[in-house]
Amino acid sequence: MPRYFFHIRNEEGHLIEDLEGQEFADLAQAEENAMASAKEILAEGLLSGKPMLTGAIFEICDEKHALVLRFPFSDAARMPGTRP
Amino acid sequence: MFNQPNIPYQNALLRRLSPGDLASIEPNMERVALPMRTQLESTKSVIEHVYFLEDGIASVVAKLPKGRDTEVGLIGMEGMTGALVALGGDRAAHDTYMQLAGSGLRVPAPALSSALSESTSLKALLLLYVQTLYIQTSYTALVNARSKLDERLARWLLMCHDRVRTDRLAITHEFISVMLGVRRPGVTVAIQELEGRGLIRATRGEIVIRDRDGLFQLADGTYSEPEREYERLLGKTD
Repeated sequence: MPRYFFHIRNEEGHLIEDLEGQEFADLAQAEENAMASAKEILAEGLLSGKPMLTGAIFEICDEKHALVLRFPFSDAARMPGTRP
Repeated sequence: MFNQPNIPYQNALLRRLSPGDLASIEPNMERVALPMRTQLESTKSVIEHVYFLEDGIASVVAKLPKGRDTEVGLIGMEGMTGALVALGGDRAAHDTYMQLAGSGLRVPAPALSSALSESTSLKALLLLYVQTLYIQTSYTALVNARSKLDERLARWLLMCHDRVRTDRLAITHEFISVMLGVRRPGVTVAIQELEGRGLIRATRGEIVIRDRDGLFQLADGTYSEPEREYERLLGKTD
């Protein structure tokens, strides 16, 4: 299975690097994980009394470090999708 | 207490056993290496061996379908697997596997059961440990319901730190995500936050504890009660 790296570009433009990556059958599965993970991170922030990080973006890269998908957290805030 | 520094074991329970109790299980004891992911118990299966860990960390993990697993017990050199054997049972309620490589001494479950039935002092000691594990698990239930991810991560790192002899934990985000019951990217965010506060340093496959007191503060009361109970019931680890 291909490995995808879920880097997070935060609202200030700083990149939180995913050093490990995670295997998924295909990009669609990786995107589903991005949706569920973004919902979880947004919810965790809200429950901790922090503002919702809707400006953050997943920058998903493949094993060759090529950007394959940008997933804005705002999509997870607006749209239904896989639950965390 | 029977703290005997001459006993060639690191395991805190074995070190506390009386010479007679130790002699009753020693002939059946076997030293084994325990690489990461070694399965020590499987849900609903007969428990074959009880492991007294010398180093490394084992996790008791409760499972739900679709990978929604969560850690419900953490065991290192302070303890043993097979709590249900000490209570008289024979099947595992959950999975138990090594999340940090180490080694241990294992005793076949039937051999331990018969030693337990013959010695009240052995039984008393192991049941005190089971009591501390019960307290740990009940606090885990509390924090899973009431604490935020960064607090739970801080508590969990302190618990791991207690069970190793170094500040470096060879642990992946993937494992932490199972232990804390969240998806991996959430762990990445929480780790980055702790790193930003100077509490830890994270590299690929390793977390270095930099500020234990800071982690304790962040854990906000979720760490220390089970640890205090362990010392009260079993005495300080030497």
